[in-house]
Amino acid sequence: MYATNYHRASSVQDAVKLKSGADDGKYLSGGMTLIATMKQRLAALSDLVDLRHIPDLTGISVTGKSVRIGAATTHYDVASSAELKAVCPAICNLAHHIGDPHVRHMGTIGGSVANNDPAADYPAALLALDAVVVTNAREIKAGDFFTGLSETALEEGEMIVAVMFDAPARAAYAKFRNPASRYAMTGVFVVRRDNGDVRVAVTGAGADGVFRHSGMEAALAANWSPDALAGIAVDPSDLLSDIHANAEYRANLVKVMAKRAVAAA
Amino acid sequence: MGVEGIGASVARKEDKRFLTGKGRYTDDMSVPGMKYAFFVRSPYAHARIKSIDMSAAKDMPGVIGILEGKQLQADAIGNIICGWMIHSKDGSPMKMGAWRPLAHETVRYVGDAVAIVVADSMGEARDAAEAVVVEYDVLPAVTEAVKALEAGQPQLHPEAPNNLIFDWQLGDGAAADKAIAEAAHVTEITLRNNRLAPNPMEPRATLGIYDSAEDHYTCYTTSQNPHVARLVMSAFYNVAPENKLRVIAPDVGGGFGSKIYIYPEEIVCLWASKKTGVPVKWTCDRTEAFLTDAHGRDHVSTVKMAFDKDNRITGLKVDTIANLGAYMSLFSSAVPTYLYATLLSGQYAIPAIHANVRTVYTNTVPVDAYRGRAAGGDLSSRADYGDRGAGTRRFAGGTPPQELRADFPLSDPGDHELRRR
Repeated sequence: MYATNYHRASSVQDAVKLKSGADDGKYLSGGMTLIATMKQRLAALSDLVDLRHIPDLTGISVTGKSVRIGAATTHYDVASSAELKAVCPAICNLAHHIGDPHVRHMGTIGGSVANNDPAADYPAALLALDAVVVTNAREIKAGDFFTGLSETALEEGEMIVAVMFDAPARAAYAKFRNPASRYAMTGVFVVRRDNGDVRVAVTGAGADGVFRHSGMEAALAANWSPDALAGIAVDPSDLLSDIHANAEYRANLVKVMAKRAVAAA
Repeated sequence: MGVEGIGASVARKEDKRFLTGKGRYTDDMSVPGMKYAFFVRSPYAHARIKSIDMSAAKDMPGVIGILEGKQLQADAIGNIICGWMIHSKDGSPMKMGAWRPLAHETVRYVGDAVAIVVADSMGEARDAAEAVVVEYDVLPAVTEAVKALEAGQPQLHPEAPNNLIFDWQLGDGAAADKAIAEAAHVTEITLRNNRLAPNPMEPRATLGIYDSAEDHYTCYTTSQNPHVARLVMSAFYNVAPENKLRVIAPDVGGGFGSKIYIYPEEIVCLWASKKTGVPVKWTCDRTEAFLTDAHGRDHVSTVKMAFDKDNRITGLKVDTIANLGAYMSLFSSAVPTYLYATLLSGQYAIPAIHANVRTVYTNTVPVDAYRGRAAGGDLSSRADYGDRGAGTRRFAGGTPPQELRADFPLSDPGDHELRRR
């Protein structure tokens, strides 16, 4: 790791101030991506602003079907929240299958969402749940937040403080895990609302990041069942090819994971 | 029950320190004035070194010294050798290319060490290493052993035309061929025993200490065999005479074979200690371990097994091409020969066996014994082709695997089944 300056922020305001004063600083939440990157000398930061000790940023609150999760809430806390499980077990299940126990006890929803790794799980959940990303400056709908592969709508210095969504009638997440890293080679989050609206969001597969599959959404809105997806074609031309899987393989995974998610919802 | 003597349960002596975190590994060793080393390594699989510019690196904070292959050569430090001579079928000795502890003119695998930086701290050594500018003339590379034998492939060592190190055989070729010709059924398959990285939990480390007052060297190292290390370093690498070299292996966190061999880093740290006048400690990081610890296996074998009408195995013929990597490691020649072919019959009495083994240079990490030998290949090979033999016969209306027979040397063959391990 290259030498860096560490700061512990006491509030959101303090954090923003510390970062704006740095030459080349970054916010640090769980550090499960950032610290690993720095250890491999793939990033050289002048300053790290630690967000983990800001009291406002952690915590899960559920009021009826409205859910608000603080950005610095760990995956472990999301996975084990009884309150959250009562209204949206799908997101608890998703968090429970991120990485491994070490990652889950350190990694946070805010960090994951702000980083928008192409194979991260939360982006699919937020897009399917029509969630809102709350920052220190504004509220951004998930559809507007994820702007491309590893890209987000966050401005320089802007930080996520919470994620909000309304728990749906039915939801589930199914992912095909890379056997070594447990990252999603493809992950599909499906949501069905009381009014019959359906969303299908796919992570780990798109060449441009997380995306919704309108064909699947329409088919499932007409017939909420895994069989409804039988005739749907997934176009490989917009999907990723890498050492783990080619686009055609991913196209098949999208269908299989979508079917499994619907069956589990 | 109170058993004493043979059969008694005896607690190990070393567990207390291991279980309480008080093990003392090479990286835990610290001596006054000790400095830290980091190696500059080739990012290319095959290249000529055009120039090494240390001017910027030498002035960086904390740098004690930076040394390169040319200086190692000038100080007459020997090349790393393979200690087990194997002859080809035609009687010629194995074609061993030169392995310099710090690459001198040519790098032959990604990770091949080119220079050593010694500095006050690990961070400063790494920073300075990044500032060493090596200009390479990149050459085409070949990584598959089968391909490396073909005409027109990149040649790694002038000593080994077509990258062939040796072409060796064991067993009775005529008898095996006869068994195959007269067999009621022959199964033939190609098996790939993939390359693997031993990946012990403790990465390799060396602390080289030259005592100028006594003209004496001490080497703390993660070796599975410190006596062999001392012998080889003094006899072949010209580091010091044996009576002037002490090698100490403290607690070692796993090796599985990979810590048997004597590596460039041990030799270079000892030499660097004399050159710089300070004790030099090097500890591998995990990426470096994957890049430089001897790998295992990497065989491709064509196997023929002959059966009589009662499904008894009458003959076995194996043709293996073994990838030894860019350089011959200390025991690399023995691994795909005496530590492999001799085991092909396993616990069965197979009357006629022949093995032909060709070893090949490629632009990959040197390969040597892992868990003792290349054993994995032979056992799974046999079970595999045994079952496939049965499978093929079943396809032709033949016998299920349980009824394949082979004679056991010590017991009644009728009681036993050929089973997959």
